[in-house]
Amino acid sequence: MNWILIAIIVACNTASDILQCCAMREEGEVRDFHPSALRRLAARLLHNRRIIASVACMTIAFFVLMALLSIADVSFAVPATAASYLVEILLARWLLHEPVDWKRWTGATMVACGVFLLAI
Amino acid sequence: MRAVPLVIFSVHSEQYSPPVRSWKDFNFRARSHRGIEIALFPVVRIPPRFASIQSKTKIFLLLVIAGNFLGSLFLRLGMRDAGPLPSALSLGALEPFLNGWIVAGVALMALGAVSQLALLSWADLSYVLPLISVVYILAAFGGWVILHESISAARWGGIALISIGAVFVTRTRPCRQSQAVR
Repeated sequence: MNWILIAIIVACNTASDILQCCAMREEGEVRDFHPSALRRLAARLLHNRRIIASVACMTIAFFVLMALLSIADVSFAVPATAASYLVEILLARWLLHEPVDWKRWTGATMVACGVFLLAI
Repeated sequence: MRAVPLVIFSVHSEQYSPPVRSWKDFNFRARSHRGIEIALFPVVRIPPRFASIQSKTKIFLLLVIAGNFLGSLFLRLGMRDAGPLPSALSLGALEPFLNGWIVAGVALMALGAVSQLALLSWADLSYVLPLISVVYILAAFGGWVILHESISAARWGGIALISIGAVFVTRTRPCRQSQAVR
């Protein structure tokens, strides 16, 4: 049961980040930081289907994490979420066509291992 | 003109000379706004036409990391005061959880989330994610120094790995070549 919940959390976190990234690329680089421009941007984003889907994924991940924490230790739940780092970088490479060189791969792998160690 | 002491963190888009190209160019100064002089607050001016992607990336990474770290620290402090979550959640049962620490924590986490959204509009996801994990290091140090939590040898190892991993990622460009040369 624990591993099913972890799989759901990783999938939802990954989907949420990828959707956010796609939506923001579609929107274009944020260049104007004036409050009125930010308000207009927020209004547009609130109607963006990808942002809405990403918020839905984050919400599911949050509640599944709560469910997981009710039956498993934090020291088990938190390191498991570090798996999403590698999954997301794989998807960033293949879906978003980001240039992931050996430095990023090495860095991301070390970070994932570090998060795992930090939580045990 | 009266000086109104306000603590506001705002990012303005006005053109400003000289261009912001590094951390040293950031100004913390008073400014005039709608006839009232607003003092004692840091105005981080980012002239959008001049600011480089690297500068913006640093600012927003800092906002994401600070928002998430301080948010989680405040939530921890608030939850410690409030006690364990009740089994049956109702509006009345949630009252102890609406203390200042928790409200501030949620606000800071929201700031972190919004900053991350802006950051993803120009920076690569594979660049942003490993760097945000610095929050884990800060959380461990925050727990150790402020909350007097213990850090095991494995945790110190984890902190070292995340630090080295983050250094590797910072050696790459934050976004694709076509955007970076802008």
